[in-house]
Amino acid sequence: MNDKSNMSLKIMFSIRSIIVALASGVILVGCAKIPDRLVSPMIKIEPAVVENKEAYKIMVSTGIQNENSDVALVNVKGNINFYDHRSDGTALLSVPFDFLIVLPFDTGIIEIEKFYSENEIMPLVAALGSNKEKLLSEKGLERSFIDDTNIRLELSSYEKKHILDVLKERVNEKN
Amino acid sequence: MKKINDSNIYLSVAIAALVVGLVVGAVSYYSIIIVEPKVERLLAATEDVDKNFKQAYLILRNPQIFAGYGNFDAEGISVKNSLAFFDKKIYYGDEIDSTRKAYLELLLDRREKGSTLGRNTAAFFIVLSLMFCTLFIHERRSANL
Repeated sequence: MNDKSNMSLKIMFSIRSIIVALASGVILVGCAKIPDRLVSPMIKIEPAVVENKEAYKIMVSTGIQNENSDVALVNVKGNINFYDHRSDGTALLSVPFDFLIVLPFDTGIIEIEKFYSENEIMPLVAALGSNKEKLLSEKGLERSFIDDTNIRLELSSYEKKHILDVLKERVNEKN
Repeated sequence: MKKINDSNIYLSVAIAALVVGLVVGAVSYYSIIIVEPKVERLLAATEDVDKNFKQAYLILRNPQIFAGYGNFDAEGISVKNSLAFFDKKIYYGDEIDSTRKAYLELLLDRREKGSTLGRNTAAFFIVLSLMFCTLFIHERRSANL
């Protein structure tokens, strides 16, 4: 009798182990990689005039990569934050962006043009190793290789959707 | 010292291996018998190519358990690029014409390789289960002697 109950206990244990292993697999599939860095960021700052006032145009060109194989990132909103690596870690400038969708294995291209006042932009110009006089004399400032300590990605909101649901929705919409 | 009863271990391993073999086998044969022929039929279509190819892609977008789309070696990069290409085509409502058939066949080939691997894995586990069953029977007989 004891042998029999021991055996059934071991069988139960085996079955339970298999169920736990399968459940762990399902949980792992549910995890998605969220972009945490910008792809090849480039920044250009030019002097400009807005409503007869001195201003500066900032052009940011970069991207965020969705490395997931089956998860689309939907309604992505965030900021590109610029920092001075010598300061306390407070962002010098925050440039917002948004995407309707970033498909799996795709890069969402960010192309932003925004105008800022002198007070807003000069701390960033200094952090990039330039100053107002230099910027005006050279009619702009351009940086293609920005250190990770100077620029960071901040995602404020996003939704994760399985790619099959997204594609089926689109096919059904079309039909 | 208490002697360990090996027959219980043999039986547990035999049952566990059989369950794994049956699950993996069922998933693989479902792909071989139902999914892959269906995709082949859709890819053989000569009329309404766009609709049939899109339907085939939606089936292939759900990977076979042994041919997931999470990791790619150098050979698999073409599969990764095909996924990104067709996802965009379908999402933005672009037409998929017959010239793209080869890229869909690439995805089907990956699925077929996955299900073959699954079938072989199932066979391995079933053989393993039979081996442990034999050991269990042998152990029981020698205990009764």
